[in-house]
Amino acid sequence: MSKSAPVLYAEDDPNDAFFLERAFQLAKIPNPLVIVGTGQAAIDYLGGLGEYSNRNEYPTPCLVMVDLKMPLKSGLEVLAWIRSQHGATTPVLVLTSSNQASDISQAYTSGANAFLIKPGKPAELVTMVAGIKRFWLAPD
Amino acid sequence: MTPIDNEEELLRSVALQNARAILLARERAEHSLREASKELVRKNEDLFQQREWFKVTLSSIGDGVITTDSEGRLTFLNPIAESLTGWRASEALGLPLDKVFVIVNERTNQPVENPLASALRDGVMVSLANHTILKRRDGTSVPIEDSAAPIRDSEGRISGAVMVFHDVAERRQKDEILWRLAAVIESSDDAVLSMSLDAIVITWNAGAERMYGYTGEEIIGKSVSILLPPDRTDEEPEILERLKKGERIDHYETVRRTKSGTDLYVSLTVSPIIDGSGNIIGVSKISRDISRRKRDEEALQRELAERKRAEDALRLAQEKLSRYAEDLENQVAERTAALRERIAESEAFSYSISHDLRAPLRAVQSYALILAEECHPRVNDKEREYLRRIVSSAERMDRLIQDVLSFSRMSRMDVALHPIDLEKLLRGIVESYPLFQAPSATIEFEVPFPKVLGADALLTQCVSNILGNAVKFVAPGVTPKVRVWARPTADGKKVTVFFKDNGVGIPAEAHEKIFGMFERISNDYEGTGIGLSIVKKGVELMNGAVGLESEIGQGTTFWLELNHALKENK
Repeated sequence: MSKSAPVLYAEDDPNDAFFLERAFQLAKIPNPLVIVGTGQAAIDYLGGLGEYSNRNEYPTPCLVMVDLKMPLKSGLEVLAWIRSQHGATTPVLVLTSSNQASDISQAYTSGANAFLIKPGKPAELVTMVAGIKRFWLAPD
Repeated sequence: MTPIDNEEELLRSVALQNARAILLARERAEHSLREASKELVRKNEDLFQQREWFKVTLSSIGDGVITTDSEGRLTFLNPIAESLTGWRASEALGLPLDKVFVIVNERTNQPVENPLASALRDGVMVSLANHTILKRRDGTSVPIEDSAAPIRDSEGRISGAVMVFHDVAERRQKDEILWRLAAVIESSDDAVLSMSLDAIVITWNAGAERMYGYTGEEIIGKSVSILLPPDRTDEEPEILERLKKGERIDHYETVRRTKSGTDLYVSLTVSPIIDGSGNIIGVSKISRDISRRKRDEEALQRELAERKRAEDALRLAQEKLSRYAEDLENQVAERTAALRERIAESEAFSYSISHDLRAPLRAVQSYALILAEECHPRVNDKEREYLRRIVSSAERMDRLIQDVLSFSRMSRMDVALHPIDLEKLLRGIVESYPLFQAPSATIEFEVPFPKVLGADALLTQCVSNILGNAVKFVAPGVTPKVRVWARPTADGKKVTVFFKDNGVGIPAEAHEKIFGMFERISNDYEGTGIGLSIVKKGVELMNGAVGLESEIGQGTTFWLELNHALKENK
C-alpha cells in the first residue's frame, strides 16, 4: 500500500473528526486522513466528481471509514455506492456510536469490512486506530 | 107325313141333338183346359220370378243365409254364408248341415245344438244363445248371432229350414269399448260431466257426485253455474266461448263450490262434443280435485318464502358481519399502521437519543480526558479533580441515557414466549461479564432448572440487572456471593427463580419503592435507579412477577415468577 494513499473518513461531527485525527497522529499512521462532512461528498470524492476530479490533488483512498448517521447520504448509502462500483474492493469500515443490532447486520450485509463502535475515551480510540493500522494499513 | 117316317125322323133328330151337346161340352172343356193351361203357365212364370227374386234377395242380403231340406242337407248358401263358413256353395250343397256349420259355446268351447236342427225337429223358430262361436272351415272363429225357422209346404208339412246369421265381432268390440268407457267414467275419481252449449248438465258421474255433493237427479237439467263461486261467475261463459271456437281446454285451474259450500281447487279439462256432421253439440268436462295439491303447493310456497326470508336475513346478517369484519380489519390495519408508525417514531427517537444525545456527551468527556492528559504538568490537583468530575458526570449521564433506552426498548422487544433453558441462559450471562466471575464475585447455580416460558432478550436483561445489583450492593471489602435456584410453584404451573445475595440488604419500607423509575435507596453506590424498573417491566411482559425478601445486613433474595414451560401453558 503506497504511503501517499489517503484514508477517507466521512464524518459530520467535527468533534469525532477531531478525535480520529488526533488518534491517527498518536498512532503514527503515515497515510493522510481526508475528512469529508457528508456522505454525498464521500461519493463525489470516490467517483472523482467536481472538485475531486484531480486525482493528483485527491488521490484514490486505500481505506474508507464512514459514520452511519450523516446528512444527505448515510454511511450505509456510501457503502452501497462503493460496493456497486465495478471492482470496488476498497475496504470500508463503519465507525459509529450505535450499537443497535439492526445497524450492525445491515452494515455487514451491505459489505462493510468492519463495524466499529466509537469508544467513549480518547485513549481507547487510539488503541482502536492502532488496530486499524495493523490490520488494514500495514505496508506489505 | 107318315108316322113311320116321323119316328125315324124323331130318332135321327135326337141323336143329332145329343151329338151337338157333346160337341159343345167338349169344346167347353177344351176351352177350360186351354185356359187352365194358360193360367198354369202364368203361375209357373210368377213362381219362377218369385224364386229368382228370393234368390237375388238372399244373395245380396247382409246376413249369412243357409237353407236345408227336411233331412238337414244344405240346399242354399248365400255369399255371406259362404264367406262366414269358409265353404263355397258349390262344395257345400247336399252336405249335412253339421259338416259345414259348426258352432261352439264361446266360454266352454263345447258344441251347442244347431238351431237349424231344432227348427227342423220342433218346427218352431229358434234364436241362438249369445256367445256362440262359428268354427270356420279353416279353423278360425267368428262370434255370431243367428236364428233359424222351419220351411213348410202348402200342406203345412216341414220341407226344410232356413237360418240367418251374422258376424258380431265388430259390434261386440264397439259395445265393449262403450261399456268399458262407461265403466271407466262411472268409476273415475274425477268428476265427469257433459253439458249442453247453454251449460245445462246432461250427464253426471259418480265422481262428480262425490266431488261436488250433488246427485245426478239433483243437477241434471240444471245449469252448471250452481258450481261457480260468486267471484267466478264469468268463467263458465268464457270457457264456452273458447270451446265454441273448437278449442280444447286443458288443466284449467280454478275454484268450484260444492253443495255444502266448500270451495275446491279443481283442474278442468273441457272438450267439445262433436256430432257426426262436425257440429259442436255439447261440452264434456272432467274436473279433478287439486285442493290437496294446491294446499301442498301453497304450503310449499309459504315454506319457500319463509326460507327465502330466512336466507335473506342470513345473507344480510352475513353481509353485515363481513362489513363489520372488514371494518374491524380496516381498524386493525389502521391501528397497526398507527402503532407501527409510533414504534418507528419511538425507534427513531431512541436512535436519535443514543446517537445525537450521546455524541456531545462523549465529546465533553473526551475533551476533559484529553485536557487532563495533555495539560498534565500544568494543572494542579484541584483542577484535575474538576476535570475528573466532568468526566464522571458525563459517564453517569451516558449510563442514564443507556438505561432509559433499554427501558423504552423493552416495550418494543419481541415478546413471543417460548420455552427457555434457564441454566444455559444464566451461564451465558455470567460468562459475558467479568464482574460476575471470580475473583470479582462468586455465583452458584443449584441445578436443575425447570424450563420457563419467556423471551430471551427480556429474560437476559432482567437476570443481568438482578445479578448486577447483587454484586454491586455489598459492604466494602466483601466479595459478592450469589446463589441462584428455582422451584416449581405448588400447582406446578409456574416456576420461581431465586437470587440470594450477601449484600447490604434493603430496608422493608423500600421494598415496594425500589421498582419505581429513578428510585435509588443509597447514594453510596453508582446507579441510575432504572435497573429494577426494567426488571419489573420485562417480567410483566413475560406474564410473570418479581419480588424480594430482605433485611438490612442479611442480604437480599430477589425472586422472579415465570410460567412453567408445560404443554398446557403454551
